[in-house]
Amino acid sequence: MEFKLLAESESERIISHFESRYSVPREFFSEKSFLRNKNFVWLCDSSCLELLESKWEKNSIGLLFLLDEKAFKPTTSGIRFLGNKISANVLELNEEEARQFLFARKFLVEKQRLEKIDSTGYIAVKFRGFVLGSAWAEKEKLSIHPNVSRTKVQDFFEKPRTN
Amino acid sequence: MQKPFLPDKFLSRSKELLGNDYNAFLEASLSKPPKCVRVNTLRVSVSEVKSELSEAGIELAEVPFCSHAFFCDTSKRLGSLLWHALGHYYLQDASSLVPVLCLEPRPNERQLDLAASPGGKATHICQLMHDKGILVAIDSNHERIPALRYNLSRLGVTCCATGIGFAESFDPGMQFDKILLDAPCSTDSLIRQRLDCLKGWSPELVEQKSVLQKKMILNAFSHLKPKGILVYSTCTSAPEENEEVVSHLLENAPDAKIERSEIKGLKSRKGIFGWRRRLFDSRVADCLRILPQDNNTEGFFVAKIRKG
Repeated sequence: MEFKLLAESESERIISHFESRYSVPREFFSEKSFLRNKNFVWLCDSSCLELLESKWEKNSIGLLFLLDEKAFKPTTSGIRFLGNKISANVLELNEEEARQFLFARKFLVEKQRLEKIDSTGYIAVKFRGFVLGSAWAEKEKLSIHPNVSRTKVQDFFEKPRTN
Repeated sequence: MQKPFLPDKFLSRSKELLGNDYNAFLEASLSKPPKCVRVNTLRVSVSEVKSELSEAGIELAEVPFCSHAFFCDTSKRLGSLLWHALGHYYLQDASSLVPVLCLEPRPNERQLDLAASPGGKATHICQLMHDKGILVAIDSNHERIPALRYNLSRLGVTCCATGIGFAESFDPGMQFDKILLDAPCSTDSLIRQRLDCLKGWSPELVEQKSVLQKKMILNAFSHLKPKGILVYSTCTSAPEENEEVVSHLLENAPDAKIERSEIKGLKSRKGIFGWRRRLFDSRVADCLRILPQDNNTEGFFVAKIRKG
């Protein structure tokens, strides 16, 4: 797989998007670089750029960050990496919603909870303060479409907890 | 409790190798080791994981030789808790923390892991590098690369590049500050976790592995920067795959020097000089041998070698 460094303007476009949509401070990306491989965008520590010149074949460099660069569709690992740096367009889920999300099932939310969302598009979803992943939020329909692979976390939800 | 498969040849060999320690070794080998949780401090704090697992009814006890790892005696499936999926911790045997602790990774270094999948040690290295610098992580088996990539993603690592490569011939085209060679071995020290791990074991397998490991260690050493550190480790007690391999490096690389790793809280033994009429370089005494009864873990062998 061939990895190429994104042009400065392309990187800037991504950083600006995450700054404006999710309020991620741009300094968070200061020691990181964006690479393209096919249509995917990867995020790596900038030290890794010297690997671009080495000849051995790489399967990955850093973290797969965007699945669709034009739509800024984040990967689950990408949005989790941003974690608590995200402070806008984020929805805190209750336990039942978190279960639906992790099972990759669409669910509806009350109107007032979507009022904090700027517009239809990708948002981050959190559960108990931790980012679970991203979802496509349709404001008009009040619907949340998980952008996540079905996750096996049955034990967490099905077994009684002590408190 | 099911008993492990223990071939007679392995038992007689262990008796010969361990002498007075044999009975304690056998007793420990027949019991399940406690699970070990390594907190991924790239993502969360130790206290957060303690609180998350306590809420799930799981109590943790500190691993004496690693401040961010904990034993837990539980039948619960720690791998299917939400916090595991979110990369808050990694499950591994506590003995496999030791090679990385010996390597002492630091931020902004260049590091190489030559047999990296499924990524327990690779993610630990990146954690101690604070996710800054370079880790090149290769594995010879392409079917094992997805597990490696999954774990790196799950734990939120950005400083690692992965690929397929053979430890005995991989040429990264650059020199490294630190290299980990956790060599594929006859795995006889994994009895406590995998009851059938000795199904394919034979004295011939030990010899075959030893031949390959000697090629691997020479290739690994050739990619070290001057003053760089190579950690060679295995999960076998076989001297042919341990001291003999390190001795082979010392014979062939005059600038290779063994350093004794002192890890606070870890009980370990010295390397042995000879085995069945084979004599090793006396400096192999500075290698670490860990038996299952020493720290209630699997067994392990670790050598820390400096270049120049």
